[in-house]
Amino acid sequence: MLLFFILFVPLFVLILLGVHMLVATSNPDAAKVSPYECGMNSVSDARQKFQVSFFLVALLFIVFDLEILFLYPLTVSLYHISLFGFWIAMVFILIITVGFIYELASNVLDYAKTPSSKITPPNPPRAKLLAGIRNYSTSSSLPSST
Amino acid sequence: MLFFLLESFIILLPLLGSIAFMTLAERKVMASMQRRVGPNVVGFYGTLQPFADGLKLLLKEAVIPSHANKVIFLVSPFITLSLALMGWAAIPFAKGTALADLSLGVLFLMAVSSLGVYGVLLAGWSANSKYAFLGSLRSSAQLVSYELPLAMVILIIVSITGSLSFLQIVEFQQGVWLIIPLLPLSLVWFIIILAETNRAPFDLPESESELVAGFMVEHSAFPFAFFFLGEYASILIMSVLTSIFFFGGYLIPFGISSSPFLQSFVLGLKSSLVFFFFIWVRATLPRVRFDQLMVLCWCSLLPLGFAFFVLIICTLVAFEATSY
Repeated sequence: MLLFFILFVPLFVLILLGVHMLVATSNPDAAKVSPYECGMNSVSDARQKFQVSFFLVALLFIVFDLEILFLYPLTVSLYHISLFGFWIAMVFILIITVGFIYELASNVLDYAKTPSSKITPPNPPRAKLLAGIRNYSTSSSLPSST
Repeated sequence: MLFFLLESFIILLPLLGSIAFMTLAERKVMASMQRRVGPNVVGFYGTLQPFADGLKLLLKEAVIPSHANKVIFLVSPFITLSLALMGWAAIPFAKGTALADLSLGVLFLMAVSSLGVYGVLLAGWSANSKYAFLGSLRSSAQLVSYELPLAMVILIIVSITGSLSFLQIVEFQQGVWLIIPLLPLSLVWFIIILAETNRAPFDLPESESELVAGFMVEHSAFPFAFFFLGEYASILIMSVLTSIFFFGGYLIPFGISSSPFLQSFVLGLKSSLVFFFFIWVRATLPRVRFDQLMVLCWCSLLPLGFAFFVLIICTLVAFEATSY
């Protein structure tokens, strides 16, 4: 029954999508299918560099998720293992805690104190920011004109 | 085979119907909280509004951007909705009334709901728009971060009840609902479910003023509706999980025994109250900043979860508790 449900649900969703494709109108034009950028022409590819903190969060997630995964067997067998098993679990959690304190101390999770924000001034003047944007747009229009 | 099909539809159709009415309930309740009327034209007091919206989305044109990775662009809403609907297989609606009464139901639900982040990630990447890209970065970071405290809370509940089966977790609460011994933990849980379903005040992935609509900005018509349905299905599943974990699931207080029909009605009532809490919070609280969100998760909720876990298992061992 579970297997049937797991197979049937994607099929059901696929049928919904198929019905939509059959009924809906479709007359795309160049402006309609261009990438959305609040009315402007898009200046560059969207797949750009991003802040490293997101990557670090993903790394930390993998580590912690594995640790939590190791705790699942403990929770269901807590009533069956003796005091010895309990102390093993305590040692395990102690090791996690040491690692966690190290992560917190190395400021990995603190978005406001990431290295990238140390280079730029905390509050750039308004005029400077606008000039930066202007430079960006002119430089991006250069390749199309040449 | 026909019976299986019927059984699947018995789960899916009321589910989609309740999602439709949830959207209406949200708009109506938020309207009342802001002293507006809300939708009141279509049907009797606007009751047919969600169906009108659904039909409109069905007939609208699905625009696929030229720069997008077209297959992944269409697959991502499909993944989101499928996974959000799949989790319902393990939920017990009344005693012995689940689609599949799994002994590892909690693990099944955790596995299905954590796969949901793929839909978000693929949607943002394939759309090839900057808003979608930033939205999906934020959203996936938020989803994976808040999954850890979520898992910790579930671990604590599992260690008390000693079972990964939803039915046994509910039956364990015959004596007392778990919200009474675990009140601080339930507050943590309420914060986590708001963040895990991308709801206000943690709706950063789709914060309109910065990212327009976040990772689903390029999706239109039915692909958008799939994200919308998936989001509301996960809100509903979180509401049901809250009532199962903390409010005794389908149990009626004071140990009154009842028929399966009444039991499922009680579960629905409890879940609706939790969903009302979702709307209430949305209408009340302003949005938090992204770094505040991450710091709240990693520096407050996760250590709190671990500490609470140690406290609970130490208490259980110290009092030599035995399995239910």
